[in-house]
Amino acid sequence: MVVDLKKLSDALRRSSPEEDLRRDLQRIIRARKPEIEATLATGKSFVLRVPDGRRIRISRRPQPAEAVQ
Amino acid sequence: MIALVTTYFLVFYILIPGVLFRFLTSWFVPLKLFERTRTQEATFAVAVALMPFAVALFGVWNLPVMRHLPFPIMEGSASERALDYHRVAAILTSSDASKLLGNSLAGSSAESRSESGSLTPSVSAQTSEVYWHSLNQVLRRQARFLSWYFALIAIEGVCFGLLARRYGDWQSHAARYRFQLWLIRTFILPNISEWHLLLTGFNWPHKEDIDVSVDILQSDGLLYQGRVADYFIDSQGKLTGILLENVSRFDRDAYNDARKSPATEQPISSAAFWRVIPGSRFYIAQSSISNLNVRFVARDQTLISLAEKILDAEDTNAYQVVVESEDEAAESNSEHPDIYS
Repeated sequence: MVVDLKKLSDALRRSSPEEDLRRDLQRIIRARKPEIEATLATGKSFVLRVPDGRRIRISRRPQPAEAVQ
Repeated sequence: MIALVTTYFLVFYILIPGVLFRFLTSWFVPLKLFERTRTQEATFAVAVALMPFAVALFGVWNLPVMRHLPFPIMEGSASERALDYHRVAAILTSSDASKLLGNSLAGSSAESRSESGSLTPSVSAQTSEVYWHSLNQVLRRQARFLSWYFALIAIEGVCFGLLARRYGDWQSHAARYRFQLWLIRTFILPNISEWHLLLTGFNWPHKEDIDVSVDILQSDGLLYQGRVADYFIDSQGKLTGILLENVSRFDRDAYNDARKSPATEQPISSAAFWRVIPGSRFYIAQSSISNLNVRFVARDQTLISLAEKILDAEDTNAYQVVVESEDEAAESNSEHPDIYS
């Protein structure tokens, strides 16, 4: 099988990894926003799995008063 | 003798340069190792050897250091040089070279040969010495030329390898690096394995630090996901296997059960059904791969900043985001799959 590497290279460059990630994140966060908010409201952190397999932990930023304590 | 000379030119002027070029370029980018026809091999070798050949030829004729080193000889005039080649051609085309090189070849004196009558009267000891001298001069010139020729081929191979490594960076500024891109796309790209383009960040700028994540559906229906650590190709350039890290397996049975269960809130997210596979490296042979979904992945810092921006945009600006390490992910997942099932 002979593959035209120039075409393959151009085809791969048509999408941007950052743009793809932004789209995926937007879709997932929007879909799971109620769950995220509900979990954070209880003081826990929420672990979100992104499509490439990585996991991000979303947590409430400590308030200044909490930070002092 | 003619066949021997032809083989010499073919090997030293075409085959070795081609092999040397590929070997050195392969230090930087893996070239295809497919078996070519002789014509393809020769065309490739001629293409890569043309420039070093011309430079080496010009150098050994005109440039001070290259004219004399290595293998120094007392260079005569152009006509003397031509005479040397004429004599060597005479030796090579002669039906019996020993008649021309006879005395020295046999290690005996010209006189004794003359007595035995095996040499023509015109070929004396002195003539024989002249032929040997010319042969020595030509061999030394050839050795000097080939030394520079191979050195230039090696430099060319390294330069092309280094150029190829910058391919991703230059693609981002195609207008500025038009010539370099033309060089790479014409000479290097057709010889790179397509798997190098698909399974590495070769096509992307270095600063973006792109990783490659793949979803692999096996012929037995199991779906794996992980980061490509390495890949392997055979002598035909075909993929033989992929080495993955940070691997997860999709628990399809549990997912299907959850979908069917009336107790589960619908729709369900598939993210909860990925099981982390313990261990740092996971090899999947090509024979078991049914299909492959390749994803180029931006680095963790990009993921965090994007997530923060999107969370802000979604009016949830009171959150901080961190990427979990593989260990944390494994600990958070209590159900470890039986990877041998």
